[in-house]
Amino acid sequence: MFSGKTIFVTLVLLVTAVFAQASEPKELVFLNWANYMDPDILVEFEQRTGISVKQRYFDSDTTRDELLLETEGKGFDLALVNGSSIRILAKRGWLEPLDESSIPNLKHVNPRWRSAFEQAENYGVPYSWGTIGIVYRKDLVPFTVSSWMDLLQPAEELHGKISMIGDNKDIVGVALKALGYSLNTTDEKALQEAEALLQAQAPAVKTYRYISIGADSALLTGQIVMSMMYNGDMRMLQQHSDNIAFVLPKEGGNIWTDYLSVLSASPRKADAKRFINFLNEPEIAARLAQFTHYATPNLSAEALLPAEFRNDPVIYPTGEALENSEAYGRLPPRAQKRQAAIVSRLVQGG
Amino acid sequence: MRLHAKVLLVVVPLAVIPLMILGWLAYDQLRSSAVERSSSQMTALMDQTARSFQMHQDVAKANARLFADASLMRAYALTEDEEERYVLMLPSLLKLFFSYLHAYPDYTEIRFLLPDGYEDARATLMSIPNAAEDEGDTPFFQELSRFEGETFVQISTPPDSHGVSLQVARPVRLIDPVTQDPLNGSPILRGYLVVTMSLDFMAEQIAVSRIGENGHTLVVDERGRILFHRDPSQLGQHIPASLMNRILGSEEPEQLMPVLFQEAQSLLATRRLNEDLLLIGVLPERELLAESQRLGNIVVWIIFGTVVLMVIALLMAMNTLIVRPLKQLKGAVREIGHGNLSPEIGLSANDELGQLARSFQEMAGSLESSRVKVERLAYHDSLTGLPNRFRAHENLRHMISLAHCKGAKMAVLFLDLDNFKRVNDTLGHQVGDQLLKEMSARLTSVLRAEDFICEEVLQNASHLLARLGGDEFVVLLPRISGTQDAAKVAARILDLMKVPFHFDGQEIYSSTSIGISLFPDDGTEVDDLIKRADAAMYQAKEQGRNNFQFYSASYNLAVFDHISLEGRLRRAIENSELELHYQPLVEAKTGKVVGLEALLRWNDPLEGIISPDRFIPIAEDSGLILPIGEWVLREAGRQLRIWQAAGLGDASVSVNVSAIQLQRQDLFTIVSEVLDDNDLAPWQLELEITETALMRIRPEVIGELDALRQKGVTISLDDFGTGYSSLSLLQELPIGKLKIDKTFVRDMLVDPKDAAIVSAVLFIAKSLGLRSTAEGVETPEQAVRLADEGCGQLQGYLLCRPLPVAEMTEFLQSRKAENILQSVL
Repeated sequence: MFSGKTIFVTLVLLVTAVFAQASEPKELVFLNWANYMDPDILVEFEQRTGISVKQRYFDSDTTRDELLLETEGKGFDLALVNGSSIRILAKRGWLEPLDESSIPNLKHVNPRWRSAFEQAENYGVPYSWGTIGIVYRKDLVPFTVSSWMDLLQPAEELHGKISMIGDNKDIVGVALKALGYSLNTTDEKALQEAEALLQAQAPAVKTYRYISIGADSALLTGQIVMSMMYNGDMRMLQQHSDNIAFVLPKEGGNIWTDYLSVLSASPRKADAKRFINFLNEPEIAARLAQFTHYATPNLSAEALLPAEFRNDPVIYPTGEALENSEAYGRLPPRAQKRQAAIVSRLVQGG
Repeated sequence: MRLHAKVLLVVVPLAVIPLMILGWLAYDQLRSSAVERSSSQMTALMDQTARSFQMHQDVAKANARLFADASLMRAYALTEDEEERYVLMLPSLLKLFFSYLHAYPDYTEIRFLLPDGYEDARATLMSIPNAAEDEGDTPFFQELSRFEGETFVQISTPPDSHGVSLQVARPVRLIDPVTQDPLNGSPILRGYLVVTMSLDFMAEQIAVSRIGENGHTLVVDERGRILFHRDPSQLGQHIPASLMNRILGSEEPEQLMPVLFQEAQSLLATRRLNEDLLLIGVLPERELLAESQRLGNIVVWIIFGTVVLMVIALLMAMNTLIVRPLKQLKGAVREIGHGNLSPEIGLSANDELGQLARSFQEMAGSLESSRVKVERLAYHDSLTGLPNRFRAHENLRHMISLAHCKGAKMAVLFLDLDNFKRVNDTLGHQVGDQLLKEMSARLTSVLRAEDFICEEVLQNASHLLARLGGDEFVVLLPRISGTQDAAKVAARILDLMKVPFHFDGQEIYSSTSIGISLFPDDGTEVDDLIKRADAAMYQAKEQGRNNFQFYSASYNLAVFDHISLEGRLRRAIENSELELHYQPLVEAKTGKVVGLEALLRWNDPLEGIISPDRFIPIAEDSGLILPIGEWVLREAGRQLRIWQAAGLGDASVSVNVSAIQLQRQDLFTIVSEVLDDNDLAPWQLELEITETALMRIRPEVIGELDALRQKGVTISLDDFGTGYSSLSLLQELPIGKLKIDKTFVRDMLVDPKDAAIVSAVLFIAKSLGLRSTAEGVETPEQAVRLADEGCGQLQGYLLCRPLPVAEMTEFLQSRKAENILQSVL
């Protein structure tokens, strides 16, 4: 079972982490998305500080929250937190407040991104920002994808070959966007429509887990021919195949920001802050952006990036799609609950 | 009612009633065992259902507790901040809930309700949208919120849940370790974990719950609403309140109780599953009875079959044993009724019926003898036993009709005793009666004798003798050939009646007068015939009694002589009125007596000598010629022996033999006896046969004559010349001698024709080597001429007339050895 396996994996990781901490005090445990950190940078950090960084991965914000919830925020030193969750995790008391005093390189960071979400300025350092769109196989999808409906109401031949991101906000958000609603609507009817749309799509969906973007990706094998995907990940996939295409649908999507947070339960908060500071050195941040193919909020780093990168429409979307895109706002709790219930019914219920 | 029906009415119930009693007992036994079996089956089924329900409920309770105690659940419950709960924890909690739901398919929904009734978390695999998030006002939550215990259970068909379900709610009461003292703080109600368990398993169980064909169980709620029933259309219906009250009011609800359920007599038992649910078992009585009903049907069929078989068997048996014999008896009785008094009754049985049959036969026998007696009385004269007048008329009528057909002749003889009145008057009626009886006996004997004699004539018809009354008798002679027959019988009767009667030492002489009428000459009607016979009888009386008269006078004369001569001839034989005279045959050469012709003479006491020419034809007609002829042969032989012994010459004796004798008598034996008895040589006996007789006899008789001639007996042809025998015939016949008829001899000297004949005859005899004798030689001239012509022997008055024995003896003695011829010439 999906959730059970996740819990099991988490527990194993947790034990190893605790064990590692005991034997090697100079190690940071970083809860992160897979393929979201340049290993060379970690090597360089270790060479520079003697502090090794061990990554633990999650495949959705919900999974990350689950992991954190299992241990009430313990066992990890750093975590990559999405903008909309940062306030709640902070409220839970799991996050360490951060400021320029402990992370001097914050000065390079664009303030727009630092304050993009409530409490983000106090508990996180922007890591990257991006959008969510549709990735697909040009060679296997016989039409040009332009709308979320191409994914949400898939053509017959795509059945069983599409995947969705089983994240509460993203998946409901995509459905709302496709229907022309705001991502942040709390309108009951809109949510019902969104759920109906998703339920109707469900039989055609191969998986709600975020697919791999490595060389083993299902998109590369052709198991999946169309999927929701964060924009940068597509560029990473493209390194393996030229048939990979990406579109930010015309209805627009979510503009998200990821933050790095230090967990309040971490016994190595200082090391963790030092690592965050290291990552925000312009040169390092630029390297990181180029590795992840996501836009960096570090203005200094951005300046270092080649024009090719800076003009990449995938990374820096423009036009109608961008105008229609929005960030997640703060929703009433019960509206969030409703979204959670929708996704739960969608992912667990079937 | 017929016998069949009666017997069946008695026997059939005898067999059917025990069968029915047996059938009823088996029926009752089966019924009670069926009830017992079904009730134990139902008890087991209901117990099982109740146990199953209890188990599910217990498991649900335990699971609710387990789920509520899960750390995530506790953490969730303790997290007061909604955003934290919903964003951080809800997905995990829902995932947990879903894993529970997957693990327990019976659970359709797991919810977490806040103390105010808000549905905080809900997981369901059913695709039924949640109708209300705020359940604070639902009756379920109202009750739940009042609940103080550990686990709250309620059956409900919640509007947002599927079908009937069991809601197991576990209040989550927790101490917040952050804000409360873990030891002393009192747990605060954080919410309710509600597990909804589908009762589909019950529906399945109820659906397959089956006791026999139609026995089933159902589940109702407290208000009698049917929640589970194998028939989906019954769901939601209410069972009647009265029945519900009765079930709830029953002291022993687990026992079967008979009620009217859904318009059918049924047995009901109930189990309480929980506070809300009542399990009801229903056994339709009809089905309980079905098996016994089936047996009942079988019994009915067996009874029916038995009755049919029995009826058939009884009918057959009765037919064979009783009815058929009875029918036979009935038929026999009917036959007896119709007059057949010896009916065939084909019954050999030794039983009562057989006895009855024998009784019937005996009865029929008695009836028969009675009938015969009655008939005798009716048709016969009681005194003589002869048919009476009535019968006589009847028989006569019958005979007439027969005679009509065959064209036969009949005679009716009317008899009347001449002196009966006098006998009656003088000697008394008793003697008169005796006389009548005797007379009838004599008449009977006469008629019987007639029958014997005239057997050939009277074939197929018998005479009739009847007494008409008084001294009058009537005799019917059927198929007479002529008046002679009737006259003959009448004459015999007259003769017999003249014989005196002897009664008590008295001698009574009587005579009879007889009148004869002839059919069809005198009449063709019975009455006419009798009347005319009667009239003829009176005529006989007038003629001086003791005679008979024909109604037609012309017959009287013609018949009288013949008949009376014959009768007298009979009597003459008995009375030795016949005697033999002898006439010598003389040898023409020597004049010696060489032979004696025996000539029959009848010396009638009334008429004197009667010529053979008169009576021989009568004797031939009546057959009397036979005894007469034999007597003549024996007498002649005897006499010759006497003469021979007396030394009166060794002559032969010639006897005339009639043609009838030749035909009907063993002449050879008689001749042999005569020769042997009298020590005579065969040559001493000559048999004379007339030429005409010889012409008539049958060829086989010739052989007998030939045998006689072989023996040495001379056969001489008498009256030769009167017939027309051819020479060849003479040659073939065993003839030794020819006798020339006296008519030729008489005129031979005057009539040359006769002379020629005589010459010719003598010539023939000579040429054939036959001897010859001339009869009727009356004159010496004749004798001389015959001798001259070569005739061997002469016979006639010239030589000697026929003489009685005594005179002949004298003649032979005196003329012994004399040349008789010389003495007369």
